[in-house]
Amino acid sequence: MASLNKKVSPSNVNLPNDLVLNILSRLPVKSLKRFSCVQKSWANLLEDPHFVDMYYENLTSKTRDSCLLLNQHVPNTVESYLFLLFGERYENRVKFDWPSPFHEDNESVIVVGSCVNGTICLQQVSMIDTTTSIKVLLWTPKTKEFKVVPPSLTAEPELQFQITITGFGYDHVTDDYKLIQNVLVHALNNDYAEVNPPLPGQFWQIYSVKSNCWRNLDLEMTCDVFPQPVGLAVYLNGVCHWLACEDHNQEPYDTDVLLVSFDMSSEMFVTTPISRYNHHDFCDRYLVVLKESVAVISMFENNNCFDVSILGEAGVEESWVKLFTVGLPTCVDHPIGAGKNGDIFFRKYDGELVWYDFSSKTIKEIGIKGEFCYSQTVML
Amino acid sequence: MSGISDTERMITLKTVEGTLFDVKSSIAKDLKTVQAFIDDSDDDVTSPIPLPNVFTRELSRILDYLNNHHRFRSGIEKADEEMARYDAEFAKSMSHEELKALILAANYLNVKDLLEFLNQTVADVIQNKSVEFVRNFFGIENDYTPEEEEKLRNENEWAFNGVEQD
Repeated sequence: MASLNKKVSPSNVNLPNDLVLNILSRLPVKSLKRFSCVQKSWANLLEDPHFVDMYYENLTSKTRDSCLLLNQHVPNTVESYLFLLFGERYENRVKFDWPSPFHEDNESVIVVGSCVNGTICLQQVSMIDTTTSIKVLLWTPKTKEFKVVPPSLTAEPELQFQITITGFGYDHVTDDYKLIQNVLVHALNNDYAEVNPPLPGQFWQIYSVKSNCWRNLDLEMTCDVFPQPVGLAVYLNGVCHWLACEDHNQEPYDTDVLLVSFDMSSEMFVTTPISRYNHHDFCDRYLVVLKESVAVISMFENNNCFDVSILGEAGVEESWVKLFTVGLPTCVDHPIGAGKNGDIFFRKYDGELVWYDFSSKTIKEIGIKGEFCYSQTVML
Repeated sequence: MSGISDTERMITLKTVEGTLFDVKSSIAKDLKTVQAFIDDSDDDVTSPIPLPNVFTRELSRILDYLNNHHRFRSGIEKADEEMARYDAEFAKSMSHEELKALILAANYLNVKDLLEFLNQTVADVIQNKSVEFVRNFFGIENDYTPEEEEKLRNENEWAFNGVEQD
């Protein structure tokens, strides 16, 4: 029997709907959005709470074997300590030693970005005279090996530099690990600014392990980086992503929050506005990686809710998909990272660090207190 | 007479076509539907257990998978790489129709790990494919009007770049 359409062959086996949904719940957001055109019942899958539950579980199941590192900043001090958390409910913790350069002084050590192939980037920032001095290490916790990253700038008497490392990642083309940082330059007095040629204001630098030096990057980027040190950067599949802001020219005091996605090999970037949020509602944002997707945890001050949104495609504003919104008790302050099984960690106003258990819909303390804005979790 | 240990006991399964398969009880444990049948029976199951929804081709593949996975896991050294290679070959060896048939059988027999693997395999197959491919694969009829579909495509234009040719 001739078929009218050569391409379509009759399907002999049809899977029941629950299996089809199971398969769909494993797809990246981009595929799901495209397949909304397959049939009407697939149009709004990500708005169905039951499907979202399945989807979120798949997003996080791969990380079940990973270890979770908690960087604790002890409240009212500048000390930071590392803990390895494990166990079904993170009930076990082991204090983990910093690499030796931080043994004497563990003041304000933070982890920049994600763990990349088992290595993490550690940064300790201190002000020496008028310049931020950064001690940067690339550290492999498993082998305890570390590499000290040389400083990028020499201090200049009339200038003040503010350095923010926004990305640590891997370039698969050159098989090299790289760091990217933003340098903000201020003149310490106006005379200097007048006499000397216009300051660069802001510029970017890249470091590679193989070259072991920094070089300036010719990057035309109009957005500013956030001064907040943790939660603003992640790495996934050759691309470093970080949060930035850009002043909206049309309306004063309206700042757009953007995601900058920087390809470590091509050294090119795209920006994706984080829309959908009223910029007048104060909101803490924290970047995490869920399986193969970049996600933003947004915590809203006015109603103490947090939501998780996934990026479908870098550079495409419409591709943000909000998975769900959860209300939290008012004692919860801000997110500090994600753990295995998609558990989201928070800090409470009293300093206690907690995680949100999706199955019981409760927050659970882990018995460690942390300082505002500095504590963080890192998936190894 | 000394007791026969669990791992040596054999269970006989009968497919739709009447083919008999002798299966070690340790493997049969992974076929949760079969195991439930055994558990529910008052006496020892001696006669072949009929599987009215399972064909020889599928049962053969399922047992092959389970036997190999048991072998990989029981080794002194973890055979992760070998297992990954086996899994990749296993998935590649089937046509789409055979893959779906196997999913149905694994679902009926409640073979959890295999079902997870097969569902993921299908997800990997369709991930970058077109809307038409997916309709064809699942035997789905398009219930959108051309105008509705056009509108939806335009709204999600970004999701259509980089799609593999059918």
